[in-house]
Amino acid sequence: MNLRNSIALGGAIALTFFAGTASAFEDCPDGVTCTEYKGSGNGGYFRITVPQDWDGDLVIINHGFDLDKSSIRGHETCRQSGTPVPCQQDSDCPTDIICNNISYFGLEELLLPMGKAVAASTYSETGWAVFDSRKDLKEILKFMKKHPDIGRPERTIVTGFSLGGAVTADAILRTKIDGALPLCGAVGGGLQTWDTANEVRLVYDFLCEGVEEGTFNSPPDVGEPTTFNSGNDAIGMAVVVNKCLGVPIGPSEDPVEAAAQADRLADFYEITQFSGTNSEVAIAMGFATLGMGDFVRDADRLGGKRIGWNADPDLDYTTIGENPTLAAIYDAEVQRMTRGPGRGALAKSTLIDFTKGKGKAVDYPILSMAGSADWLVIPEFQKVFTDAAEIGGKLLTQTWVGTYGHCTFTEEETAALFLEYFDWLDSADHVATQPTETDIAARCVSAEVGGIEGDTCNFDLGYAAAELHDRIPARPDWVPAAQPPTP
Amino acid sequence: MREALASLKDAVRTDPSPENHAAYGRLLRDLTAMDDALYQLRAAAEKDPGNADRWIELANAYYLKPDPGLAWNAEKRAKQAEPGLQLRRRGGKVERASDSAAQPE
Repeated sequence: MNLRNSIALGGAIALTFFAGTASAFEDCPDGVTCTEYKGSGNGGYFRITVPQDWDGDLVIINHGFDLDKSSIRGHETCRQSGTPVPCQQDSDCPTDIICNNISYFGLEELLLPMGKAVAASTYSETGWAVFDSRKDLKEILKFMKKHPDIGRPERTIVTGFSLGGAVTADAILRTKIDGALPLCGAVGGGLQTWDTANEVRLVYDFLCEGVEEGTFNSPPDVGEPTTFNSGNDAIGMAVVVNKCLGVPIGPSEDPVEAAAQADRLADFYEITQFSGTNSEVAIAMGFATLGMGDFVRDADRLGGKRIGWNADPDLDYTTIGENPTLAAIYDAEVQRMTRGPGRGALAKSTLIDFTKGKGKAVDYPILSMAGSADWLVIPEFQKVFTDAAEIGGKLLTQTWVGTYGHCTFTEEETAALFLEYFDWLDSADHVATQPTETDIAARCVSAEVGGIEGDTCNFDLGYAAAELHDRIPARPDWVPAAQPPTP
Repeated sequence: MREALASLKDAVRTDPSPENHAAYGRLLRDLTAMDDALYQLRAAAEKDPGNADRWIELANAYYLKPDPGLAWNAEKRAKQAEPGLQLRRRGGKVERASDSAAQPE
């Protein structure tokens, strides 16, 4: 149904280009003529699609958390070592080898007909890629500026889903851009995000100590080692979790052990206040173990410097969760860690503070959409970001979608968000034209053309996120927006 | 678990049917090996394009990735496979509006 009208090839120094033809992952909607460019730089790969009637805006669309090292390669090349093999779909590659897709997340269907160019990067790093992502985004702009057929965009707008939201926040706070829309974004900041993940691991270790084949050997604030086979890593992690908690695969056939697993799982929910389902517990544990190890152990990121901190002074866990008796036992028995030497570097990726540096200079509107029932990127992270923007006096509208899940937005909700955003960005007076969440919900309803029965436009108007420091104890080095009020 | 995985992988090798791809993909998805799961679930849907349920299953896996754009495309493919199909969400999952199954966990 879609046609790609042309594929540009280039050969600038230090950039690699791959020839291509029509693709299974079409990105040029009906009635639009596009040119696609592919390049690389800083160790990452990117693609850019420019419509023939380009209005000068570039929207960089950032992907979520991905531990697969083989995904850092060109668009439409097989994920295998050696000389890049072009592909358009998985069946063009050898058995079990994925055809790599640098996704635009469906946003190209909306943005290219509006005259906006779109771009996306693999980043140069896996997992928590925010250490270097701003350089990866700059490679896209450098390429455009140098390429005679394109040129420098007039405005650069950054967006992204999940970890891509963290990349967006980092771009806001550390680069010069012209607009931003974090989507279900991990925008709570490096320390706040990974202290939360570390707490999940500490609770797991507390509950699972002594469970045969149900424990992890790594220090909790260093995380598990990762390999080139991320699927195998994930399976190994899930098997361990299943031994202790009886999820995600199922409980032990031994009724005594199955009962113990169920008790531990119930305690896990009570202490962590995890809002996901049983099948999602292992995904959260994947972040807390493999996701942590991916960047802490990486020589180019933290080089093995651990990131935990809950001792000296001892943090008080007696009020966390829903069961004070259990919380008191946890407080007495949880593993204590002094301030990890990796915290300084982690704090910079990303430092959610609009009162200094490039963050202070932000003069464009920010429009954010997140899930009020997101079990992974919890609403408390959005609260840190919006509070920081408020402290810095920035124009930010936060919208909430009530659908359960992580990034479970409909096409119509997302389209309404972008349409409202460009109206706002294009206006002469950003203060007077700031949209409310009600405006965006109304835009969604007016554009509704099918979608999901009953909840195409599922904005959760009036929702207010809780404070992160009410969920886990605040650390002294958290950003001001994440700290509890001083008495 | 490793035996179950090896058995399903072997089944796909010897008989790469949509059913075998889907069964292997579901187990990989449950074990959080999302890229490998998507590979298998894509193969199941592409080999059985007229089966809306394969596209619905693929859409739900893309939401877990998360890649909402590819999930939206899979939802559209489900509707193309079965004109008139109505979808809804329950417990965070896309499903047929006509499904009466109990809410998942």
